[in-house]
Amino acid sequence: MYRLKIFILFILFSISTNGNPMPGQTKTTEKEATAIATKQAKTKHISYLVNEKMPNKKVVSISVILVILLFVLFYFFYQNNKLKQRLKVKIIRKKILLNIINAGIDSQEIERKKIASFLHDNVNALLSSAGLHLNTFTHQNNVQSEEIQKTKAILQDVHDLLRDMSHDLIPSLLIRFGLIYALEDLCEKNSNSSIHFDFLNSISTERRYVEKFEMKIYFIVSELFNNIIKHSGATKAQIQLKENGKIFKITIHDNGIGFKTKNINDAEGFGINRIRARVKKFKGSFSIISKANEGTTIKIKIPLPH
Amino acid sequence: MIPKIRIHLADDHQVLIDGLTNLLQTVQNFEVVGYSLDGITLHDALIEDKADILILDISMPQKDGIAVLKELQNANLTCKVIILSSYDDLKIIKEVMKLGAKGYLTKKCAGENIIEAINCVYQDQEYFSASVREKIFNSFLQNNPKLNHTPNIENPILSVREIEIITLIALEYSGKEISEQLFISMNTVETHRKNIIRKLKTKNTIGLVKYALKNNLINY
Repeated sequence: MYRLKIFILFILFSISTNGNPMPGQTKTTEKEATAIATKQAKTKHISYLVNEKMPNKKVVSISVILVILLFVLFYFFYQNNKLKQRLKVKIIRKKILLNIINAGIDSQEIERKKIASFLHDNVNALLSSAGLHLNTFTHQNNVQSEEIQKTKAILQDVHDLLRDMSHDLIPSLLIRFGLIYALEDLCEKNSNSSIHFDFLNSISTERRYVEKFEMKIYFIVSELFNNIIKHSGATKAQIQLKENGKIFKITIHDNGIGFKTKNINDAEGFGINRIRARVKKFKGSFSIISKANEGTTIKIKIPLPH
Repeated sequence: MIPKIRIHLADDHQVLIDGLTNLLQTVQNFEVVGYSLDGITLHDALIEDKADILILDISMPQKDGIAVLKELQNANLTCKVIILSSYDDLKIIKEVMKLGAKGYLTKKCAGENIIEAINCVYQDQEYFSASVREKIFNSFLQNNPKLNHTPNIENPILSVREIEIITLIALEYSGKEISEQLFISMNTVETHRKNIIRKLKTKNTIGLVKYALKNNLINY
């Protein structure tokens, strides 16, 4: 491409120089002319000189043009390269940011799981057995002590607290019965007198996916639900789940106040960036359609893990 | 001599098994015949020790309680299962009852109810610990305006469960509906109904409804 351009330009210039001397040429001729001749003979001399030194001048002019051309070309080339580099840096920067976000989320999820299973497996079991031993003691010795009753009550309170906390970390339904089940439950739990979440699903509730995939999807949906509850002012929302060949589709719609789609990137508080990063990591697509006062529709498509 | 109730424990925590064994051994007609720390060997162990009752935890490594329940459902064992779990999510309870469990206890009050639960389930009745039972009942009648939500004063004659049954009968639920919604068998509902009639010394269901109205169990 570039070579062709250079060639064409070169031909064009050489043609134009034959007909019309370039400004650079006139300058050199003027200098020589003033050195030799008087004012009156000036014009004659010039024409004479032009004719006399024709081959020499042509070489000079052509080389000057070539140098200019080369310079211009080099400039463009340089600029182009610079732009490309800048774009590359931009892309890399974006990727790094995405990786940072994802790494943050990943480690958060790993920690969540760790803490939840620690609470559930170790602390809970110890508490229960403490309660059991206490019961055995009262049973064997037939003691009626207010202090023991109080201790039992405290143990039960701790149990409740632990359960709530580990449930917040990772819902037990998700682990035991899978994503579809847990999402249905999420709809029910989030529905109340001011907002109702509809659950539309065409996937078998017994369908299980890889644990990591289930957790990610669950937390994405619960974050989107939180947004709806906190910011949209909607009275109705629905989630639709579909599995289409190798793609898992989620559509979430609400009838709330919506927002200008243009401002999505500013809406960092909504955690949209985090969600986008997560969807991107699974090589999925994420889109938001929203207009003021017309509700919001969010579509997520993610290829199924193997 | 009455035959002892043979009990098998399954939980992945030795401490809990020790605690349970200690407690159950204080009861005369109970015998802890074995325990398993995971779900994999459980099935064979049950056949070997011919347990009547299995106390089963849901969260166990490798093979969880749900997988065990599914296996037992197909295995045709006479052993009855009581779930002892720290989960108290209604949906989980519903699912494990569907999978053939006969009782559900939460770990937080295991010590209080487990003896009662074993006796109950051994006599072919479903058993839930108090908080679970309450949860099931409330979720069923959550939005029923006819239910009187004022807290029940301790009834000298009837148990809390029986109060629930009588309330549902008065609200015109059929035996089948009650059994489905409370996760208990038709037989259990029928037994409760008969017990209530006997205790209240009435002759039939109409007497039950009259009692429910008189005691403000339902609004009318």
